[in-house]
Amino acid sequence: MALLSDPRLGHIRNFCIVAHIDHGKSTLADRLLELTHTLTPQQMKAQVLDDMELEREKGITIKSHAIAMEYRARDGRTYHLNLIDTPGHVDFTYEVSRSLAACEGAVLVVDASQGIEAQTLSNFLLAREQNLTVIGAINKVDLPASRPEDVAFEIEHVTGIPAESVLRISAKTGAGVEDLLEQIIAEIPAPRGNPDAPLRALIFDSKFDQYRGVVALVRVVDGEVRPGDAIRFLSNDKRYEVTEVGRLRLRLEPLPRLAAGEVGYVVAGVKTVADARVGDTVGAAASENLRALPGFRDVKPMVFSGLYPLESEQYENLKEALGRLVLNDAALIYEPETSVALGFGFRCGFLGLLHMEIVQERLRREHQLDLIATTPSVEFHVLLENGQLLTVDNPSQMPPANDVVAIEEPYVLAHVLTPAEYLGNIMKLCQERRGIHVGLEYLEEKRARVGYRLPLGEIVLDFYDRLKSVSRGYASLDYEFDGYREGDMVKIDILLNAEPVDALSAIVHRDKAYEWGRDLCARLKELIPRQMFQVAIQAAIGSKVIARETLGAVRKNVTAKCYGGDITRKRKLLEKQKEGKRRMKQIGTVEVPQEAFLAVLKVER
Amino acid sequence: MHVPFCATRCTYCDFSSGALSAAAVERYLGALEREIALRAPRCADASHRSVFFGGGTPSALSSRHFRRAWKALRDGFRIAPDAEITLEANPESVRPVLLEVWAEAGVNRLSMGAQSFVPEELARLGRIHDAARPGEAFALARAHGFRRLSLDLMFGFPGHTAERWRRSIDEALALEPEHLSAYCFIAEPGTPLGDAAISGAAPLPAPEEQADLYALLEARLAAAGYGCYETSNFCRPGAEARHNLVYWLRRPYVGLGPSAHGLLDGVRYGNHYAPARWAEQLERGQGPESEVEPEREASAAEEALMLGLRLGGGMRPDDYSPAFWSTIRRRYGGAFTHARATGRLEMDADGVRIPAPLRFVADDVIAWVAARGVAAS
Ligand SMILES: Nc1nc2c(ncn2[C@@H]2O[C@H](COP(=O)(O)OP(=O)(O)OP(=O)(O)O)[C@@H](O)[C@H]2O)c(=O)[nH]1
Ligand code: SF4
Ligand SMILES: [Mg+2]
Repeated sequence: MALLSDPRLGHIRNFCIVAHIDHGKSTLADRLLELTHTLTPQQMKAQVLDDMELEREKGITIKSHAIAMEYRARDGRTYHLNLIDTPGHVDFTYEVSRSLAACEGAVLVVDASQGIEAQTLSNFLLAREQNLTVIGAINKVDLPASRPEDVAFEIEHVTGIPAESVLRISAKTGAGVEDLLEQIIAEIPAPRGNPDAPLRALIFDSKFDQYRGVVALVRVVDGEVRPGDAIRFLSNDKRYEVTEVGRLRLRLEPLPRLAAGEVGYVVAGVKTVADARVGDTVGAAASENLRALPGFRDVKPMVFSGLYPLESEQYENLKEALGRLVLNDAALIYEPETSVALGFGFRCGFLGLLHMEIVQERLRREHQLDLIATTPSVEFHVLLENGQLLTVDNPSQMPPANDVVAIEEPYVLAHVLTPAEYLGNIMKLCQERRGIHVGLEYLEEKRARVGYRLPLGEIVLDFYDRLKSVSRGYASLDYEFDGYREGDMVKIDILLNAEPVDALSAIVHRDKAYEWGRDLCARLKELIPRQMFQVAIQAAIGSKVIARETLGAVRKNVTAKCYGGDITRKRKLLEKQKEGKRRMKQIGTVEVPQEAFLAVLKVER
Repeated sequence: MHVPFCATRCTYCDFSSGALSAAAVERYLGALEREIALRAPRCADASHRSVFFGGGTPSALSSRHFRRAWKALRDGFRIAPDAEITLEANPESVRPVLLEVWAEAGVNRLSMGAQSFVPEELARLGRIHDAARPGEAFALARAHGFRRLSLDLMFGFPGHTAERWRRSIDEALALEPEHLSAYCFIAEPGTPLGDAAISGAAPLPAPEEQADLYALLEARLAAAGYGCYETSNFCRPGAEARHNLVYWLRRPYVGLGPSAHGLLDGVRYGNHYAPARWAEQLERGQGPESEVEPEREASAAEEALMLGLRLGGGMRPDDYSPAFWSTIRRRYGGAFTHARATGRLEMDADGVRIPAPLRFVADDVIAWVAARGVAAS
């Protein structure tokens, strides 16, 4: 590979925008698109790249979005820019690292009032790991609470980017954004790569298009690719003929070719996403000795939960919907499972709770599926008496305690960034969650970064919310997988009128078991409507009941009069009552509403 | 036949009813004759086994007006010689002249609205008779040879207590009615007492207390030899209202008058609620219906379930045609079995029914079963 950029690539700049959540990446992208006249005023709207319905509704970016722009710079030359807007939420860090792999530079946006937060740092480190040129930009300087001087100092202190080179911008008003664009051109290097070598391109993302099949988003490293070219995927040596290439605008925009250094898309009649895996290298079919480009670490799901259709006839639909969803969401994994309480469903692996919520929401909206989700769980390693080693990500599959020698649970290395005044609260919280303190440093006098090894199971559910509440919203969290450690784990079963409900079982640390059981029983009592019979709600470890609540029977639910004219009225009422019943799952003698299965997410610990 | 007139309006009532005036009654009867002319040809071959004058207050019609209504009815429809002919009467309007006219017409069953025997309650409910009047009316009716008398009571309204309820029940039983209906108060929006209950100005007894009042009623009536043959209806053996069972077993019937409903030739219809609107349509030569719904197999089966499970004897195969019963079995057979297994239904050779202790949660059971019905294959 050439060390210096080929002069033919000198007009290309590939960069992404990275930041902590909500620091203004997508809004900055808006201004850049305007400045470069990439979109017509009619196409323009706030955070225009957030085009998924859920992104718009939640006001956050979930998927990276790449878009090509052209810009006539102050030096009089026209540059081809490829911008990738990335998500800021910790669940989607893998999206950031993939986007970085297609770029030479990154704009690190930092909110002028919030300063450096957890994903500011983790995304900066990712960019540096990949040898990208990082440009700092302090955003939202239009806000009265902004303190750009302090933040510039923090940035220099933490990243080594000189404070004076960090631009002050407002993505809202557009102030400073043109200077930023000039700095991008001046400082971010043009791509390296050999335009004359055989084709090598990195697939950094892919999506599924109803008409085209798999659309691979690529960064061409060497050579070029045109429709009609024969290509192969280096990992599996599958060969295809290219039918279309182009650049990424709001829609796909076909071009006659994609050349070295460019970012764009390739369509080659690939039917399954598995055949054009993200991280794979696309090569010229004729060249046998190509070296694969460095790919990506496999994303590992952190949280597992069973998804079941509320109505069992919907099983096939759920299966099909999941199949479609993974086409655009490679991080989601699923396999069939069955539950005594819920019937046939799928065990799904998610990156985190937000990812889980988004997947469920998309299944609901895009596929009109009514779902029940079982208690989220992490993946345990279980050593049995007979020497066998099991992985268990479904509490109901945990073997009986008698057969188990030891259980190991996954840990993460977590870092919390916080104003120093909340440090005490945060350390207390981490301690409660069985954290092992590993370090404390100050980014500056009033800002600390504290490290803990924490059991993943202790943080997946509600840790983030608790963290926000003990720090009045100021602390932020970043974590990465940190191996397995032994833990004194027990399985807690929930029984409704003495029938265990496997979907509500959980594996928790013995010290927390009583509290968990008590709290969950109390919540279930609130969420399960009164039934025709009294319902005993119990939590048990093995055969030992550790908590109990009693739900009294409903006493009145009757229409007093049902004569000629009342019949039509009553039938309409019955339609509603039936609908209500359908939204319940019958478990043994008890009807359990969908929401009850969410109770676990709210358990105080 | 719905007769939409009352002397005054009770505080809980949302029935189609207006003030009594000669002009209003004349208009009503004219329109009624038109409706009869409209509907009678459609059941020319039928012999009607029951007639029900409901209201409003049918007993508010003068003898002349009642005769005119009766003549129109008899001229239009064939009424079986042994038909059950019921008339709803308010105690204060039961007078010898009227009793004679009714008896002469063939009315053989009177249903009297007493609601309560506690003076304060009668005032609160807006009833214009006193606590002694139902007894007097009963005595008069008996003296005129009426052998089938029914009494309406109400419970669970704001301020109702077990102690007073017991008093009303006992007074009612002392009159030895053959049949008794007891309704749990429904807070109808737009009625003075209903609105007061909804806003909380006149708090309702808790559902548990209402359930206790119902249990009290069931126990007292059972001890006196009255069985519960429908959620809110009780009678001595064999004294069921034949007309009510027409509704509940989904037999065809003709509804006449404002707000009346009918089920005829596989169509369920409902007339306009407002007497003036109903009359206007007929005067213009148009149909008086505000809703018309052809029944489908699914709606018919679901209705049969919803009505049949309210019966004390439940749904019995003998009460339906073999074809319809097999439809019901196909849709709900699985649900019945499941419901029995979970204690929601009793099932034996006689049929399926809601166990007595669950009568006051019948809606829950019905919805539970209905939700598990399978669509026809
Ligand atoms: N006042 C002010 N508000 C801004 C500015 N830039 C962004 N915002 C607001 O900050 C919020 C978050 O902006 P986004 O652009 O969605 O942030 P993001 O970094 O893309 O967020 P994620 O994609 O979810 O990580 C929005 O309400 C923006 O309107 C700015 O310069 N000034
Ligand atoms: S008498 Fe009957 S219909 Fe008339 S207002 Fe009273 S309750 Fe209503
Ligand atoms: Mg965004």
